[in-house]
Amino acid sequence: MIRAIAEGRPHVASGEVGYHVLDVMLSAEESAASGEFVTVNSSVSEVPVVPADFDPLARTV
Amino acid sequence: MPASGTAQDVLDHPGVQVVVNLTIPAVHAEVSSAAIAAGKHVWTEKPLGLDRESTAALLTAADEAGLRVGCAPDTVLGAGVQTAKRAIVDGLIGRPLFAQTSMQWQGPEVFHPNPAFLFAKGAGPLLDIGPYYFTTLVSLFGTVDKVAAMGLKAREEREILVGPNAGQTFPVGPPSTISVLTQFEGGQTGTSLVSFDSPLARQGVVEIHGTEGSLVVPDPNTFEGRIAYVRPFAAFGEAPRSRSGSRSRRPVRSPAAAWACWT
Repeated sequence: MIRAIAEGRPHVASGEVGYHVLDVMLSAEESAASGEFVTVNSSVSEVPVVPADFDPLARTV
Repeated sequence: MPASGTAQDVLDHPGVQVVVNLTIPAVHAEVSSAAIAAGKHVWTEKPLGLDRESTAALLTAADEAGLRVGCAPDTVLGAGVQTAKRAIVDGLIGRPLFAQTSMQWQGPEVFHPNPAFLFAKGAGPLLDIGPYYFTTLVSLFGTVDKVAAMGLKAREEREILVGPNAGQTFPVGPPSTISVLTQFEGGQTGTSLVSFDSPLARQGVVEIHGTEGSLVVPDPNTFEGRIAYVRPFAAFGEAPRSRSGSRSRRPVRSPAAAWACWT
């Protein structure tokens, strides 16, 4: 995320994805409680692929 | 380490640009929101929050302030899930159809001396471990449109098994076993089991099945591992058929490079 900030691009493990995953899990709890299908209201933009040459050990700051 | 102190000291420190939020789930959204209000970017442990309202408010506040919110698990950025994603994008398994995931075992009280919080509201196997599996599926398939689930609890109360409080009991909040069906916007479906009630341990199961092949993805609670690719038979008893067309016969573009990143 720090590298994405420095490079002015979106980061991949985003709050948007985190929110959608939470929404899915809460919807699952609600479905289990109600016995009904639950429509998930949030959505995510396409989650990008991490470049193959990404080096997680590279110094970021 | 140049400085230490309380959470408030972190927020007040002018040199801090990014706050890493490793608090308990019940205060994730609150602590992250305080960091945003203090003008800091936030990286937070999973889950992002425990309810839609406060979690959405956190993201809105960050957007308005021009600040970033990042959320665990970042294991999906590792070679395992990324190699699977590149393979899918490259068409290795054709059109992705469905996924199966499984995380089942008898539960964390076998090793944890204070396990009650792992069974309380905001945890249970779904919110505690589920983020690894559902973040993987969302990373591979995209938006989930609809879910159905069934849950149960083996017991309403469980017993602490190790440590100084062994023998004490604690209540179970959310289901300790839950099966979740997911319908994705792209047409794929998913079947996901998470359970703290299973004597048989089977964790890290992520399988992606498509028209031209299946992928066995490594445990999404780790950064890497072996990937298996299974091709369909041309006919029963014959060798697996090659993938249609020469374009798609090239190997997966990048697993070697991706694995090299992590070794």
